[in-house]
Amino acid sequence: MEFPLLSALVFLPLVGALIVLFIDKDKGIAIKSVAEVVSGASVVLSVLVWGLFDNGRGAMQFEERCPWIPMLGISYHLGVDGISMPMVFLTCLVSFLSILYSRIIAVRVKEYFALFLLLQTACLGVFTALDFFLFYIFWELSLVPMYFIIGIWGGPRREYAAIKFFLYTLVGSLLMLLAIIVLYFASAGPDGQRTFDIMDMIQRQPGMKVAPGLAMAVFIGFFIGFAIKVPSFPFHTWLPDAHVEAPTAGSVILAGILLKLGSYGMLRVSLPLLPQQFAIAAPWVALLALISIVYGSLAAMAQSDLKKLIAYSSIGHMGFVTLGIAAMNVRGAEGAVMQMFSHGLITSCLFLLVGVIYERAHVRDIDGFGGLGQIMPRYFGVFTFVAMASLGLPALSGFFAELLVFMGALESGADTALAPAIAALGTPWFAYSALAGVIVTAAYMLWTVQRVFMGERNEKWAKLPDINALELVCLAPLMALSLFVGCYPIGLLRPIEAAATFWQEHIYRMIGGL
Amino acid sequence: MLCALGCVGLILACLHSRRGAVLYAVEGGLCCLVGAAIAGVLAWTASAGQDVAAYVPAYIANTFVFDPFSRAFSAIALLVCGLVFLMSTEYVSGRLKDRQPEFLALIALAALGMSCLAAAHDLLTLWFSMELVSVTGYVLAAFLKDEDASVEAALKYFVLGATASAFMLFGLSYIYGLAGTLDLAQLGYVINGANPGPLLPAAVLLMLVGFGFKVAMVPFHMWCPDVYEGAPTPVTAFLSVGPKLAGFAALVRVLLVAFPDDPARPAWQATLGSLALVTMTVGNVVALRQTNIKRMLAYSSIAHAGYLLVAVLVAGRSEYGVPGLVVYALAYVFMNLAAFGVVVAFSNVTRDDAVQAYDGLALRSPFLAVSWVIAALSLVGIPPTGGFLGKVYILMAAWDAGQRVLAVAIIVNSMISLYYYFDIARRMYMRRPTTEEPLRVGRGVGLAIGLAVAGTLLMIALAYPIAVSVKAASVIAGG
Repeated sequence: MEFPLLSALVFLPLVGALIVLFIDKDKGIAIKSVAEVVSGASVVLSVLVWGLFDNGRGAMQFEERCPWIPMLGISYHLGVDGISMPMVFLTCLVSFLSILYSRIIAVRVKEYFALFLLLQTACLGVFTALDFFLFYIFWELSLVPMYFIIGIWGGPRREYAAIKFFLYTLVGSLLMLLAIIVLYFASAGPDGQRTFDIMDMIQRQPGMKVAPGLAMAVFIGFFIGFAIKVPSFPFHTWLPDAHVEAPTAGSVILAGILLKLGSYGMLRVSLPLLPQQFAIAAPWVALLALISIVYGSLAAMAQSDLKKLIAYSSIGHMGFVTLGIAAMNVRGAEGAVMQMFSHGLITSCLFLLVGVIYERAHVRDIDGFGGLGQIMPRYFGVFTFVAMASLGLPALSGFFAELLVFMGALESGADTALAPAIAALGTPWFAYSALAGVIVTAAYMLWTVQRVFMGERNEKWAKLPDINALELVCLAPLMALSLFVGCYPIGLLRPIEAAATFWQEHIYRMIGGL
Repeated sequence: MLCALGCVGLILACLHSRRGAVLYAVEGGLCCLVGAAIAGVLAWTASAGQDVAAYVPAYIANTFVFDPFSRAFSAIALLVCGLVFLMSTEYVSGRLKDRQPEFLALIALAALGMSCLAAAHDLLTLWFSMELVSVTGYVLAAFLKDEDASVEAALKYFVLGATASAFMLFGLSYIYGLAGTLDLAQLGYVINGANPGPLLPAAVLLMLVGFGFKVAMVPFHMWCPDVYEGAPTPVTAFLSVGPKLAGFAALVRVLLVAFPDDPARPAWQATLGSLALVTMTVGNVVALRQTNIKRMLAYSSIAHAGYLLVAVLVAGRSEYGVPGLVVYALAYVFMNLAAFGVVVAFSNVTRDDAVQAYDGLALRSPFLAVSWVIAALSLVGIPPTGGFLGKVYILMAAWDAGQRVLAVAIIVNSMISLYYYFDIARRMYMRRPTTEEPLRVGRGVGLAIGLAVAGTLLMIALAYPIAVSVKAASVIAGG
């Protein structure tokens, strides 16, 4: 038997969390070191896995499968493909950098780092699980640490934000649980054995065996579960609260990784498992994505709190992911995954940058600043770089991802054979309208840079120290990767393309049989 | 049988020890757990016990049935008894000066009643077993006889319980009159397919009143919050788990064996279905408003009765029904006793059951706070816990049997329940305590909580052996 690399990767942070639990709570430095070493090791391990990963193959790799509860058709099944591999790497990197940045945490250190490591295991588990039972366990497991991270180390309204986050996402996941159970009862294979295995279910297409109305209800159950996580309009209202109240590193994980769980779920589950239903719903999904893009960007523009602005910008950017998925073609899926990766890098940077200024000034009011460019020149430089990445400047990662989404959306409209409904509603027009979102994004990002950094030197902030080495160390890898992906997108695109093509062929086959 | 003997032994041991009852609590608790393990293994290796009947007199053999299902519930009864013994160690030595042995003996007696109830194969035996559980319950509730709340609770419990018993007996008399027998298998034979007239549905519904009271089903749940609040906390823990689960075990046997396909089935099935829905909803919604943690857990246990009732309702209609009941019962023992263990440990020190008192507990006792969070996750049905496994089973059973409304109702209710369980967790972790002084958790109750929490988590880790044993334990003779 081969060495179970994926299991090692998924459970390494959990082992770290257990070690942390056994360290005396007053030994803060020891706790932080253990967390950093374990999380750092997981980055190395994920790079190793990606190094061994065959980027040209679309099918699952590093698969591990052993029966767990055979009579219910539940197995312990892990695997990665070109869609999940970048997400696994992103999870390890962003978790590691958040933990590194969290050196500044001074209260209840032990619980904090144990929860962060637990959260990392949960996210890695969602990105690698190929059995619904396992997937659901990891999915729910990601809620609990985040609830406590927001609720204990968060801002003034943390209790409200934490329970709102928990309730909202639990509603989604319970709907998903019911949807899974419905599919389970339609999943009997040739031998009559039902299964919870995602890959087997995709082969057996239980969605085609139940009544069309029920299949649609199942699709909606999954979709709401995922859309709450993304979050897509109108399920987004938990996000501004959670983001604003969460501690900096919590926001980074939330925006950088947790939001991707939702879009990943759409790609991994909704699209291949219920392609017919997705084809019917695609125009509506695209419409919600479009509203998210435009509304998220406009709402961001209206914010005066820097953190809230970035929270709303996430809604807009994640809207592109959903739009790419709703296009139901290879380009769109590629764009979606690229955007997930890119947004993970950029928004993590942005939340770190908000943390930097908030640690120093203890306010986040955009209009309260001004002239910071002269006081904190390095911070100014970094912020401007990231803002440019966020608004989609070419040569940075965001541009290429959004370009692919637009190409996908435009292509999808042309492909009338695939889904007449999409063509009828005119996805190209969605693409054009989404452009407005890009323009608004550029506007508020530039306006924010202008309001915070330009203008008269403000003596009130004259004593603020510039960005320090730790913060730069946390930001630099993310910025470098964004630049790398922007200049050499094919490096990231190759595995994604292989997987997207692989799944697209499956979807065409399924819809062809409609 | 083994369990019954074990219980009797325990009772005698308790009564003969005037001194050092605390020691007996721990030892007895551990004995019970060992007994539960043995009984569990027996239930699993289903072959051994069927012919036990050959060694006992016919008048016993005909009224009890020792099938894997009854052995599984005997194991659960012993498990409950053991955990409650351990949990009450400090309580007994701290608050019950001169009546320590009786306290433990009564709990053991009730556990005996639970075992009999799960094994009863005759409606009269069933009624007697239920009375055995109930009467010990009345006495236990009144155990703090100097406190008004405890006495009031016991009185309320007694008056309402006796009324419910009377209704049930009335119903049983009609059933006897209609069928001429009280043996479950013969009843099934006589009633099945026959048309006994309009009296049968009425008789069944009267019988259900008795069960409904025992398991705290709406609208027979009114006693529950008051009794839970007033009774000594370990007794509350026991009442919330033991009699309820035994009641369900008996109910599912009666419905499966005596009334599998009787003409009245649609009537009581529809009634039970809507009662399940109302029970879980009322329990969860009212729990939201509670400020006393024992009352909150009382309403929570009403809600769980609703979930269990769904499993009972679909038992004959889905292969997941009876296994769902068994696995949920096991998970419920662990998670509810873990939650009550936290309350017992906390009130041993503070003598306070108000939810505000739990502010900042995480700083005073991380162990209690973590235990509460795990119990709460399980009670809501969030993985990785036994409660999740149980809920998946019940949801699958409900969907399989075509009870889609009930499946959706369980989902919606789980969402509601998150709020009040995690309201306590929120207080524990996100509020500042009035005092930072560490809260000492007694050894016995600490052990009970630890075991219950470990059981809750292990149910997922050991999901396969659990699923296998549950499947083996779901064999109901004649069902």
